[in-house]
Amino acid sequence: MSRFFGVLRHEFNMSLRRPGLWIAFGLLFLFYSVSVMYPVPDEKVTILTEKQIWQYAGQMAFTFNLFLPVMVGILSADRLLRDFRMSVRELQESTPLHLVEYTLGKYFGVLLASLTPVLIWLWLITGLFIAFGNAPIEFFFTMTLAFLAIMVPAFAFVTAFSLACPLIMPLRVYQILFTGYWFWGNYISPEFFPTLNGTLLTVSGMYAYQGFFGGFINAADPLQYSAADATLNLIVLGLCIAAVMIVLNLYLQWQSRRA
Amino acid sequence: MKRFSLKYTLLTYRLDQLWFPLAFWAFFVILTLLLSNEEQDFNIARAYIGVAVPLIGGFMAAYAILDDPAIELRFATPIRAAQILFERTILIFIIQTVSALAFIVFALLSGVDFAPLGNALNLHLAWIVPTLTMIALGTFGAILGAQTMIGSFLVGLVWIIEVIIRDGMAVNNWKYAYIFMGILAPEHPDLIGNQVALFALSATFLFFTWLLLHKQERYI
Repeated sequence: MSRFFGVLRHEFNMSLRRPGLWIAFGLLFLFYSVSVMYPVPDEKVTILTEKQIWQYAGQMAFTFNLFLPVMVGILSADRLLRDFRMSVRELQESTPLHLVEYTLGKYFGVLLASLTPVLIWLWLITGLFIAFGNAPIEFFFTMTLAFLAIMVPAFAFVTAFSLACPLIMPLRVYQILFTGYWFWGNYISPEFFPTLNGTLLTVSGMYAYQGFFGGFINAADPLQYSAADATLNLIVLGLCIAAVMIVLNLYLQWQSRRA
Repeated sequence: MKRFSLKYTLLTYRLDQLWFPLAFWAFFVILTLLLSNEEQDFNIARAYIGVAVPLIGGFMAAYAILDDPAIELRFATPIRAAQILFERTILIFIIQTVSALAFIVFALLSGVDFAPLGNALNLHLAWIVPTLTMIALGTFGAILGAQTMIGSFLVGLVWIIEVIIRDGMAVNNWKYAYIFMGILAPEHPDLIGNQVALFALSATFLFFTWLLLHKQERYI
């Protein structure tokens, strides 16, 4: 376990020290902070009731999921590949580090490095929301739950694929396909075009948003997904992540044998 | 004076810059043939030429200059920054142009009517302007951050934001930065202003890329 935590800590520190990560997060945080904190001129100031804080927390997390996972997917796509390009992997293979410890350490290191700045920023804007009297103190709790139920699964899903896929295709090809997939698989209506959106493979967080948080405030249409659907969606995504990590391990084992 | 080295460009050219746009082109062709519906064919055609082609161009451009295994050697030779910029981005633009034109020809032969996009000039501006903008953005981002990842991230982010909130982009002053206006809102009254603004923005990006390329030590 100490080796696993060693890889995790090293990857976490390395990922967090990338200027690109902070430029990317900075731009998106600025965009979202302005759009969340400043209402449209003719819009009334929102003061959330106890009941609405669940829906609003879900709505905020769902909105943040529009663009943040795209950035995480693109930025984490080179994390495993760079070990091969810089021949670090060959050095690691000569150490008693197990492959499972290496891949899981890498995965959780990258994932935590992506989630940490988002969680801090989320707590910051939630704190401002509460400080300005727009929401009760419980909003802090519901916002954290929304982060765990909507944002963490999406980040975990895209990180797994972003670590594995660039090993079998050129990095830029993966990045193009991934950006296209995020729009096609999550935001195109199934009535307009065949898509993964609306199936249990939807990663946008719509299932958890509707199932656990009650969907949009004052929405006219009835909810499409229940809490059971949302749980099933999270289980399916978890299985996909596990499958990707298993395939990644098998692929790396095969590569080691071939070398 | 060193002239444009087509041989070097071709020798160091990454083949995925060629096969991937071709594969994507083939995918959209197959999709059109499978769906074979007049309205959907038009939507697929405009999605390909005006939305997918700029995305591919932008990502490829992010890798165009810095993803060169011999970049230190290149910088050690007396090649001008403008030449590096030109020879690395022009091929990407040519490939995207060939892809877009080939798809337009295929779509026309399949009976797709591009009339909603306006005349022939408007049709071509609808894909040329966003493709140029994304190529310029990808190149500029990569050079500014001295990392291909920054260029890729900027291209991906701008693309997904503009595609998802496209209705919001067509109003107030954001309309001048709406990259897909020509293809998704061709009837917009400020289309010409938008295209001029995007062209100026692309030129600005390329100008600053050229300036930054003089500081070669940043990229080694």
